[in-house]
Amino acid sequence: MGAMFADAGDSGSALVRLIREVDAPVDEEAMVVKSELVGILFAIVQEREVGPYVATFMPIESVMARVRDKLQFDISLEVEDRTEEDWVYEELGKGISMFDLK
Amino acid sequence: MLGLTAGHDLIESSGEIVYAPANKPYAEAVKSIDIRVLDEQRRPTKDQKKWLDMQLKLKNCNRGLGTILLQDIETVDGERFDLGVFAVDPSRCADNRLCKIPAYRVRYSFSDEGDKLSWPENPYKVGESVVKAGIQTGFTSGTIIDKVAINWDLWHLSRSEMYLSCGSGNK
Repeated sequence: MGAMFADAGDSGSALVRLIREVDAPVDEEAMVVKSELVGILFAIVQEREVGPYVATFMPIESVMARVRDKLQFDISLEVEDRTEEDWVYEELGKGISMFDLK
Repeated sequence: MLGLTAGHDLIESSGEIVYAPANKPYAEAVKSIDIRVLDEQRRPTKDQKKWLDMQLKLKNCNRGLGTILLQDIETVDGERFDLGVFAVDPSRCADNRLCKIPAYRVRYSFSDEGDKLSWPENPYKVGESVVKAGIQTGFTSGTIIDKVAINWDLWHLSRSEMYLSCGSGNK
């Protein structure tokens, strides 16, 4: 089995479909022309402790409908661009009993 | 501005506040450094100030991301929802540009608007590739493999139709 696609702690990740330009000579080097939000990851299911597993996601259409139903508004992905080049974050420690600060 | 996540991610957030991910490691780190500082107070070493500074920095770190608007975990007509929606604190607001996330930027070149998250133009299909950048396993790609039914609640045997993704990942 290859590397895990997802594990405990990955819930809430955006599942994204990347669409590349069609006429590029090499597929892997083609520019990404569209990034589509397909769903939100929320669980992994494994029949046995070791072995194959699947990751499950809520399709974005269901998410939109649910938000409309529960909160009475539509969500939009149109967000004003920010000028920052990167999303800065600070990593504080790593795992059990680690308190080293970066 | 709103944030979307899994509903169970919000359970550990106390009250209405949503905190940054990794609540458990954070709590462990606080507990661990408290013990270390206590130990330093009993038997001081040259590193006492360093540990005190770390304790202060860790405890004063602002981990608030926003406030919860919706936590929705239930099965409705065979479809499982585990959805969280929160209002993002203005100081935490970002945009939807994937190239600002290093995991995406180092792997792909994007056209001017290509990194902007958008709604799917067409429904996804079995066999299609998808990617994600998660906290635990980082950036991975996988394949949508099927839509199946899962018994989410073994005690009551309620069955849910689920969309499944990704038999294996490739970093």
